[in-house]
Amino acid sequence: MDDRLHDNWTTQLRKGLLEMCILNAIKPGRAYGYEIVRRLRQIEGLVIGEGTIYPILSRFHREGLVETHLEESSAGPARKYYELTDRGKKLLKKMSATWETIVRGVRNL
Amino acid sequence: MQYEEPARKMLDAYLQKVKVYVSAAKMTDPEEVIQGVTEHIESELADVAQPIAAADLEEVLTRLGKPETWVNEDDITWWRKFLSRLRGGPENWRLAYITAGLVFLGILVWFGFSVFTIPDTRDYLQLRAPKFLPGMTENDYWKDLGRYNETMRNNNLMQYDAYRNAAIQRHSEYEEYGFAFFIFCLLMSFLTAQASLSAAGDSTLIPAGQKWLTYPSLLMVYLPVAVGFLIWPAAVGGGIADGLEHHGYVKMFGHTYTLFGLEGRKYNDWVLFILAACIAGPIFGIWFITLGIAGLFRRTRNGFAAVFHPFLNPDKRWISLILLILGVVFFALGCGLIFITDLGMKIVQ
Repeated sequence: MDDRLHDNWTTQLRKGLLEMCILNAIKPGRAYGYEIVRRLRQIEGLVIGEGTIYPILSRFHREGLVETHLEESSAGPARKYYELTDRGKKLLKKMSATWETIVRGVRNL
Repeated sequence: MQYEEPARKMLDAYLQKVKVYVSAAKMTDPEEVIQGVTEHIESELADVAQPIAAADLEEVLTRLGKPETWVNEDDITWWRKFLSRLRGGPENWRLAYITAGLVFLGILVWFGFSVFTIPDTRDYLQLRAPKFLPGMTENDYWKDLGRYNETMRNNNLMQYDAYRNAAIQRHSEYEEYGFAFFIFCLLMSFLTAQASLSAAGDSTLIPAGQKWLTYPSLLMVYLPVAVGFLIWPAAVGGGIADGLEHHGYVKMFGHTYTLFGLEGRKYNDWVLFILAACIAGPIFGIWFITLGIAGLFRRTRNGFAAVFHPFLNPDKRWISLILLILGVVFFALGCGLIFITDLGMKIVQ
């Protein structure tokens, strides 16, 4: 019973955090999909199925939070690079502020 | 990138699955996702010797995860959700849709008799069965109409009546087919509903949508069974009272008749009712007490809870307690009723 509750809670938390973390992973500059996955791998337990990231990136693209452009790669076929738009940057700023407030609040409990 | 044949097949199947599941999401471009996933796989396997073996590819696909878990439920349109679940599962949802479909089909065919008949105001033709059922074709319809016109033209009312009666009989036969088909669909849907709930696992975690799809079928089967299970003593009481009336014993209840102030009312009906209550009361009492005690003192999983899954929670023993209390009340009332009637007076004497 407790395991089930914990699993549900972890899944919900992960879902909520993943979008903010993807935006954060693109924030330093442009990045291609696999590069974003590698950056997110560093956060233990955040990404269970790495494929989850690609539908989110596609949605961000449609929603105008990121823009994309193809670039030739020396390692193989052309890569699709993602970069935050102004809208994406603003949203990330808001998300980060909310996150900070929550973390601070939880720590002060 | 070169793949061995099994690896190529595995990759194609995986990307096809990605397409199916990602297509269901509202704001996602499946081609963009497939491109991203393909790039990801190629980047992961860049250092692996070609042609790529299935085992190497499988390792990467495992890390990517199951495509069915990639998209949030909230991001999927309802009709895409429906199609994708019907096509690719999960099994509990696929079975839930089949359940609802069977119930809908059964009701449609059953009630279709009135909905799908060809509109016509003439009495004879109103009795026709619908076109889409066996035995009635478009040709039959026109043949019937021709016969009707012919009989009316010849003013042959006897022949008209014969056709009319034949039409009535055929219509009632079709109605029976329709009902039998509905019952068949209902029983099949009951099985798929149970399978759907089992596939969902923990009954406390069944999604609301799945409940809406499966519960109507379960309730349509459970309610008549549960009602019959609980009120059979009433039928027994009524049957015995009816038998006593048949043998003339009801006449012996003159005291009861006056006791309940029933003068001026139809003697047999009222005495028969009281007699049925006298007999059914104690049987109800004993039956409910038995059920209550069995439920309260059981040591294993309650059989009734298993039969009426998921509506009867085996942990709720208060249901058994209520049955026990009701049983005692019914038994006392039934016995009390017996003793104030002529029957009780005879026993006391």
